[in-house]
Formats: sequence, C-alpha cells, structure tokens
Amino acid sequence: MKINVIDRAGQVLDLDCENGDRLMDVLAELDLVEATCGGECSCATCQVYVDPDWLNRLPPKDELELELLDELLNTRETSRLACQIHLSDELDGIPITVAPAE
Amino acid sequence: MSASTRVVVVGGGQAAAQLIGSLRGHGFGGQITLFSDEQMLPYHRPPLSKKFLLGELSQDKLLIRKPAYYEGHGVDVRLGCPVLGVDAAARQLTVAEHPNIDYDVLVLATGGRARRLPLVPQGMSGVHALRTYTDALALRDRLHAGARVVLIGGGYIGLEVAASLRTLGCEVTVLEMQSRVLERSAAPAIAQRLVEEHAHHGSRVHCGIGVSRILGEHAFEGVLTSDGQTIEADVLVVGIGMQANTSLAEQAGLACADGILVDRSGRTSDPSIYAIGDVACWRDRDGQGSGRLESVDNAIFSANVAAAAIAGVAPPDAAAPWFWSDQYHNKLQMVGLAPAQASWLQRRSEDGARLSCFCIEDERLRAAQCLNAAGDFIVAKRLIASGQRIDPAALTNPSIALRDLCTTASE
Ligand SMILES: Cc1cc2nc3c(=O)[nH]c(=O)nc-3n(C[C@H](O)[C@H](O)[C@H](O)COP(=O)(O)OP(=O)(O)OC[C@H]3O[C@@H](n4cnc5c(N)ncnc54)[C@H](O)[C@@H]3O)c2cc1C
Ligand code: FES
Repeated sequence: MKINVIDRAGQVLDLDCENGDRLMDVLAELDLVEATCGGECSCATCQVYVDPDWLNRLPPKDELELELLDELLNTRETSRLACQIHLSDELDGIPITVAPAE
Repeated sequence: MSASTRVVVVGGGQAAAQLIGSLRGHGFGGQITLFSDEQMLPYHRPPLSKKFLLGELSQDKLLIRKPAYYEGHGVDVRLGCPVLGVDAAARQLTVAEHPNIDYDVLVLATGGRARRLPLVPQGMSGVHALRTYTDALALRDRLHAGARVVLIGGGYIGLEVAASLRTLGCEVTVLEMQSRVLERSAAPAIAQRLVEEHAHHGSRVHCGIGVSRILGEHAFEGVLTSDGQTIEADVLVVGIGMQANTSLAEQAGLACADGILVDRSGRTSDPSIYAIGDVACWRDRDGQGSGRLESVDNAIFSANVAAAAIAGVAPPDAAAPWFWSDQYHNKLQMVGLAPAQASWLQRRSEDGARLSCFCIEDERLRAAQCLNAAGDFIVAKRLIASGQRIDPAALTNPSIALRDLCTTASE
C-alpha cells in the first residue's frame, strides 16, 4: 500500500508502507518527523494533518493524544499524532501533511 | 564533503541510526559503513524495560529503520562485527576477520554497557542486567508469575523493570543505596509519588540499603542486605547504571573524561573523529551545560549535530535536553537540567493525579518534571526555550492555564 505525504518542505511523496506499520515509523524512517520517543506519546514531534475526508476512518484520539494536541502549536481540526495511527489497507492512499516543527 | 568521502560509524544504536538517516536526509552521497557488535539492526532501547518486557511489542517493531532502508540508501551494515582498534594517524580501523578499513570521517557511537556489581560471582545464573535486546530476552525467559525478583538500583531503568515485572505477576523488591530513588535526577515530590505508586502495586522499595552479600553458589538464591536482612529470591536484576564504551577512543589517544570529549559539533580532539550519543561527553552543549547525557533525545540531537557538520550544513538549534519514563500507567516527562540541590515549585491538580515540578533560576524556567501532565510538559518546553520571565505564583496555581503564561510564542 501507499500513502501520499506532503513534507515540511512542501514536497509531495508517495511512500510505500505495509499493513500494520505505524504512520510515524514510515515518516521517521525518512527523517520527515523527529518522533524522538519512538511512538510512546511522549515527545509530540510527530504531528500531521490528515485529509478531512479520511479523518473518520481513523480510531478516535485517546486522552493522552488529546492532551498533547491541545498544547501544541500549529494544530488544526485535522491534527493527529502519527504514532497513534496504524496503517491498514483501508487507509491505502491516505493524504497526509506533516505539520511544521514546534 | 565530497561524494568520495568515506564515513565509518562504530556502534549500531539509536545515535548511529539517526546519524545515518540525517546524513542521507541532507543528501550526503558518500560511502557509509556501519559496524555493530550486536546482531540486530539499530533498535529502540526504551521499550526493553517497558512494552517489550511485558510482551506487548514484537521484535520487528523495535527496529528504528527497516532493513530495506539501509539497502535502499546505500548503507553497508556489518552486524556482529566489533571494531577492535582505531589508528587515528593512519585513519584506519581494525575489525575482526576483516582487512583494515580506511575512513575519512569516523563516528564513534559506541554507547555504554551495563555496570556490573563486583559482589556478583562471574557466571552465576539468575543474574540479569538490561541494556540490550539479548538481555531483555534472557530476562523475559527467566520470568514466571510468582518469581521472586530483587532489583538493585532505583534509577529509571530499575523502576521501569520493577513496574513491568510486577505487572507480570512477579514479587518485586527494589534496593536503593541512596536515601531515595532517582536521587540525582528527579524532584523529591516526583520520586515520592513514584515510590507510592510502586508500593500501591505491591512492590517493596527499600532506600538507604545496600547489598553486603549475594547468596547462592552457582545459581542466585538471594541477598544479604547491609542492614542484615536476608531476602530470598529467584532472580537478581542489577540496574546500577551504565559505563561508557570509551576504550576505542582512549586507545586512539582521544581526549576522554567520563566519556569521549566533544565540542559543540560533536568533534573529538581529532578533527576527523566524532562521538555521539551516550558515549559523548559535551565540553559545552551550546549553552545547555556540559557532560554526558543518557537519553534518546541526546542521541538524536548529538547525531543531528554531527551529521550537519559532516554534510556541511547549518547545525540544528540547541534545545533543553529532555527525557521520559513510563512506569505502570504513569508518564514522567522531564525537560531541562536542574542543579543537584534545586528547589522545586509544585503544581498539582485538585485530584492530585497530575504533578508538575518547576525549577526557576533568575526568574526564568530552567527545568520542569511533569508526572501525568503531558500538556504541562509541552508548554514547559516552550517556556524554557523562550527564556521569558515567569511569575512563580502563576506557575503553581492550577486554575491558571500554563499556556496562558507564554508571552512570546503565538499560534
Ligand atoms: C532498558 C532501557 C530503557 C531506556 N529508556 C529510556 C527512556 O524511556 N527514555 C530515554 O530518553 N532514554 C531511555 N534509555 C536510554 C537510551 O536508550 C539511550 O540513551 C540510547 O539508546 C543511546 O544510544 P547510543 O546509540 O548512544 O548507544 P547504544 O544504544 O548503547 O548503542 C551503542 C552500540 O554500539 C555497540 N558497540 C559498542 N562498542 C562497539 C565496538 N567496538 N564495535 C562495534 N560495536 C560496538 C554496542 O553494542 C551498541 O549496539 C533507555 C535505555 C535502556 C537500556
Ligand atoms: S512519536 Fe513521540 S509522540 Fe508520536
């Protein structure tokens, strides 16, 4: 499967990924997000904007993700932490924009 | 640096993986070779004491980058390959079963090894440490519900292991020589809350108590404590910190203290050799203090700094170092370095569930430690970075939102 990513420099990338990958891992592998905590919801450096049409296919945010997003700068209605998103075939082709660094 | 530059990285941990990703991210087109004495591609160590120990994470999810990344980015990875020597004058490495390896730039990312307890007889079974994947597997294999475990050392890793083992149903006793756990690193109120949490889950945490004898001949049977108690147990976990792997650097004649001394760009006393991660000892971390730091944040920052210098691009901005620890369902996030005897201001939520401690210096926030208060941590990072003046009364008043104290950053 693939995801469609706009990185912080505005480049559009089609990235290959596998069912079960965390979105954060796919982005971090190419250094597109820092993801310092490796997905433990501790660093909040993996913010992305998800295409609004795809938002309802994602599982809801848990309390911790909500709290972190609440305090981050540059958040939008469509903000998510990439480490909380597990990719599945259902998300094949999902458009993602990497949020600016804090 | 030209496309013919040969970069050789020694050590395959978090810092090495980040250096490689960062170099290729900057478009560095030279050769990159990585030597690691471990058998596994660079992986995340933090889960070893947490989710991996609990069996909630599989091995492939520990990897920082998938195997295909290294192939796709022209990185020559040699696993199970310890580097035995560095000849800095000839710019050559000695590697077991290889001809000598030439380098133009050498990066030492050798990290550290678990410190041993001299009291423990060599080869005694039932004795564990936790630094590597192999260590974690060995410990996991040894555990069963009801196993009696003694943990020596009440540092972060020790306390995380204690929480995981208790969750797995083991009987856990933690022995800490100092008068309290996390003595050098956590605010007293935070350490106190964590100890209460461990006690609440049924672990015993004894402070101010050392070990005077290890019981058992070939297999571990228990400990005799400095205050004369005998604690019978099946498993001993030694969590008394790490020792930086500086021997290659020392042998190469590089300036070392507690680690390998580096300047702000990660350069050692030899300009073609860098050191990054747990093994590096900052002479001065761009206004963020000096010394060695053992954290993922520092591994990543130091790798980015060195990669920028090697690739010839602008260095990343320095930020206050930060660290996290998860114990049971408690999340501790800390940012900034506080002096040893710092006095801490407290911000508690009404129900007491959230606790943040702040260290103020010259009317500015210097460090923050947030327990179950992830939002405070994010704002504290921003307050430290901005260097703005802070009103202590507002900081400790939970009815004032922390974010309202930010005067410089705006959305
Ligand atoms: C159990 C555990 C939990 C942790 N939890 C957290 C946490 O929650 N938050 C946090 O911020 N940090 C945490 N840390 C710390 C963090 O993992 C380390 O700071 C980080 O891994 C350091 O990375 P490094 O690459 O500098 O060193 P290392 O990860 O130690 O890697 C060094 C590598 O070099 C290899 N090597 C050494 N000498 C040679 C040689 N001569 N030839 C070839 N290879 C060599 C070593 O075998 C090793 O693979 C934890 C660490 C552990 C062990
Ligand atoms: S990777 Fe750290 S919060 Fe997502």
